[in-house]
Amino acid sequence: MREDWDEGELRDRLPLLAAGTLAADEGAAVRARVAADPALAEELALVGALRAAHLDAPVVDVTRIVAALPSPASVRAARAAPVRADEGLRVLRLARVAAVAMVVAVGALTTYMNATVPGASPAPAARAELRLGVPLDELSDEQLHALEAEIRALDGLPAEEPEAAVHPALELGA
Amino acid sequence: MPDAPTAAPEAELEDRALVARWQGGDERAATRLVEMHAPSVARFVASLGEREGAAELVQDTFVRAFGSLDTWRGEASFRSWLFTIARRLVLDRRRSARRQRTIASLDDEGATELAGGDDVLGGVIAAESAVRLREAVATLTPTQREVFLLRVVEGMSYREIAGVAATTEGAARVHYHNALRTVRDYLDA
Repeated sequence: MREDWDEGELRDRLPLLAAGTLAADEGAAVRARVAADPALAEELALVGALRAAHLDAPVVDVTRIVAALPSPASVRAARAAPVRADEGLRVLRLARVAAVAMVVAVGALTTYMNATVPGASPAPAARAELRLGVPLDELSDEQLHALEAEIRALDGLPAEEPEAAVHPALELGA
Repeated sequence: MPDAPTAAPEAELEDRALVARWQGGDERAATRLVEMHAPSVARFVASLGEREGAAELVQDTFVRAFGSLDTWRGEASFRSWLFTIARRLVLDRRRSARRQRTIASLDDEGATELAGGDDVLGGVIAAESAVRLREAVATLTPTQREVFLLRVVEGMSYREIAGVAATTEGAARVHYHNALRTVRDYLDA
């Protein structure tokens, strides 16, 4: 164990010394250095006083907490359950996001093709890809929520070309 | 600058043994774990400004923790893992309740009994009351206050603090020293 700490390293150790979380031998070595340095001793005293001033805690009812805990057996049983209760909802949410993403991608493809090749027949709707960086089914629930919100926000945006012609093959529901 | 390694004291080893015993079916091990850590969790929750709802948050923390004990790999201490869960619950509560974080209420019932033992500490006690010390800490930003109290009250390493407070070790160290400087300036004013 090294003991040639500089002032910064010693100051870093003072709150750990005050809280009693320094290893025993290191704590003894730090105390020896503090005893020889009035500035460090003052800082240790301040840190100790600050700690003591914040030691009070709201009362906790241990019995009530323990009574609310799941049993080890129930936790093991829950882990062994084959299908999560909300898995169905997650599948529905994935399907909805994928459908909306497809509509958005097809709409963007149509707008692009009408802008660049006027009058040309757009190719049949190609398989749209939404570049998310990860497959849709690997998105977490939080990521799905955020994506849904973003897609809904797109509904409020005006189309670049509200009068653009749409090939019948690309009309929704066709 | 590497942080001081906090001891893996008997307490941490006891945590691992108690968790293993509980997972093996010994429900009394849960009582011991709650007794050991509930006050710290309550203190932490109160330091985040949730003193009024602390009891419920502490209970929810332990229920959540014991429901997912198999996800605790032991890389973080059991205590800091509990703090991480508690912090997440506090943030969830605020998001659902849509209210601002408040600074922890000041206890003005008088000076807390302070540990004594040496002349220097006695001088500090004479100069500052616990109320003024808590006022000083209350002027910190929420992040500074969280990091500062985790370091000073709980004696956590910067690595543990980084895990709990969702920051980095380097940032935690900066927050701590900035917070200490701010507290000193307040007390010297």
